[in-house]
Amino acid sequence: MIGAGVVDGIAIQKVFVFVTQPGEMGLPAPSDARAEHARFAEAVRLSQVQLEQIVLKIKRDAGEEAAGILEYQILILEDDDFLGKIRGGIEAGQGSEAAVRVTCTEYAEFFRHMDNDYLKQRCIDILDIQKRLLDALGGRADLTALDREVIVAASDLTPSQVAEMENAWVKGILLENGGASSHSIILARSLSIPCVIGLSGLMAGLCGNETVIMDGATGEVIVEPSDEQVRRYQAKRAARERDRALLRDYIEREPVTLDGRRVGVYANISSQAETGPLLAHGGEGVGLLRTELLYMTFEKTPSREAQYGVYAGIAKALGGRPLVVRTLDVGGDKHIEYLGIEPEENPFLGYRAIRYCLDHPALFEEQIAAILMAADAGDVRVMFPMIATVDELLRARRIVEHVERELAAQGAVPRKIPIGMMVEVPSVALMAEAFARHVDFFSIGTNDLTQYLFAADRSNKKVAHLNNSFHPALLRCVEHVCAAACARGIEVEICGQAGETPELIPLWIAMGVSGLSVSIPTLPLVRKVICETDAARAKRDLETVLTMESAEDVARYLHEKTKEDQKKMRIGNHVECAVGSQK
Amino acid sequence: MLNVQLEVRNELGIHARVASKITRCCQGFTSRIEADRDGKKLSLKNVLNVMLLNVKCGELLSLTIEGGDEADACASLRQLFAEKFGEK
Repeated sequence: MIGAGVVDGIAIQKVFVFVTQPGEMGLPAPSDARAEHARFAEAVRLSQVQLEQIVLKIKRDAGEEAAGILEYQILILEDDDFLGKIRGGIEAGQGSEAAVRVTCTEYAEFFRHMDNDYLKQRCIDILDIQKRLLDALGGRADLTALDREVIVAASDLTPSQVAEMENAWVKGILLENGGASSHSIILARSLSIPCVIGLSGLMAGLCGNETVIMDGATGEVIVEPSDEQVRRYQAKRAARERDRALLRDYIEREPVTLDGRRVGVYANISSQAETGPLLAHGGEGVGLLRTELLYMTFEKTPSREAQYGVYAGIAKALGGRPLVVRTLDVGGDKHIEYLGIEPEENPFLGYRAIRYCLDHPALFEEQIAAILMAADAGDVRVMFPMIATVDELLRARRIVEHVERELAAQGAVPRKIPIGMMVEVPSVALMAEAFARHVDFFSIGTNDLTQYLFAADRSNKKVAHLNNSFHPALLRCVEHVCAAACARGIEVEICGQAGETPELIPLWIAMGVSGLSVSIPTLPLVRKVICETDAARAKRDLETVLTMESAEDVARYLHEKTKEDQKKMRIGNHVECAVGSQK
Repeated sequence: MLNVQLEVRNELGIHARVASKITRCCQGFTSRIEADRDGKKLSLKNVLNVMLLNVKCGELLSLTIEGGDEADACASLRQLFAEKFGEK
């Protein structure tokens, strides 16, 4: 099977088939009995498929007799009286899980009270069926209750389900669909869990407990591999781990360029689960906390207290390192059901982020209050997304001041925190000097800035190629913003994908960025590139590429520079070796 | 409608594998096939009913078979019981 490899890494593990509940995939929670009946019917079907596949395997390996007890269990799943009792419970308003538990307990008791020792023991089949049905009904308990290393297979996963995998047991993720929420994949990446998506037919082909090999780099998935395949992938995995080990030294080393420029190395995260991996990979703080995930995990707008708990928790986990909280960036490709934003023709150009928040002051003020309150727990900063005009920025700032006064009136005088904004709309880049007067820092979101600059939807495959961060147009744009920030003496960071592209990092440094905020797994590589950068020379390269006409020209030029450097370094090493051997 | 009494003759009585065989056999017919327990009619097309009848070796099972293929169903069940479900 082959899918799209979205998070690098090789895993060889037993598979754990995880069936999600409709209510968790952004669909409405099943409040009516009909939806609940459908959910139960699907769990029964899945349990039957699982049992039938196990029966086939046992018959092949151990013969007809051995499969008897499982064939009996399959028949239990066809037992109309048994299923009817559960359906009756659902009809009476019980959830599927509760109805399964009630009926299974009842039957298990029948068996337990028989005067026949053999039948007494057969209550175990009922409990087995109960467990299988509950597993098939999904439920978050399953992932948190794991007690062995597995590769999780699911049709799709929500970000919160991925966040729950922040334990040592989940070694890989396989998704039949995937991409329903790019947040899930971003999270998997942060947690360094290899991930392959778009595997059609995955769930029907698995009964659980098969051994699976997956390669998150190539998207390859092998079910029940041969010994030879296992050996080959183990060797491949070991080779990649050696490569990673080479980068590990840089986690400890201060990220300073060859000519002494200190550059901050931060990470983009969406949950507290990621703070552990962030610190382990050498992150110096959070350059971008996306708060959408927090809103998505709730059924309604999370309360001030709930938000405070999350922000303060992350700030504490960072132990005084900076935490930049971006206010709600809803809209675009991030949909939150309960906010009731209507579907639009051009969501990326529509009612999103700060545009929505300024129209909903109650919601916005709650978030601002939570962020201000969390400032006691560490170095917390706030940042507004999608600002397009100075007026929007000033209105957002006034709301912060208003909330500050309100908190002070309640006796909780909040600490003054730095206020920054995302630079991701071309109008802002052009007017950067004006915006710089009103903020403490800029964070350049290169992903959105690129798609708005080239007027090319980055999720539309037909035009996505236009979004090339090597293009001189983007480089000029970023350079202009950095110049405006430096002239005003405010900090400027890059928090898009371009910030972690090794060939471009020297250019950003030459432009004067104070920090890069990147995905967690790339932190060690980014630190290495910084340590190997000569900022003065990068400045000359920058001047050259800014005069070029195309992304291809820039990429070719930077690529050749890198090759030359590597050659020089190799020669340097040889000379050192030669000198060493003469001694 | 047919009323029959069948003797369970295998050593172990009705256990899980035997119950499965009886159920599968009954499911092959459209007729209703029921046993009486405490005045309640239990369909033998449901495996848990067959198990919970708790019939041991040497005991009799009283069945009511009713439907278009009742004769065939009765013959098949007789044979299954006579062969001791393929066991000792």
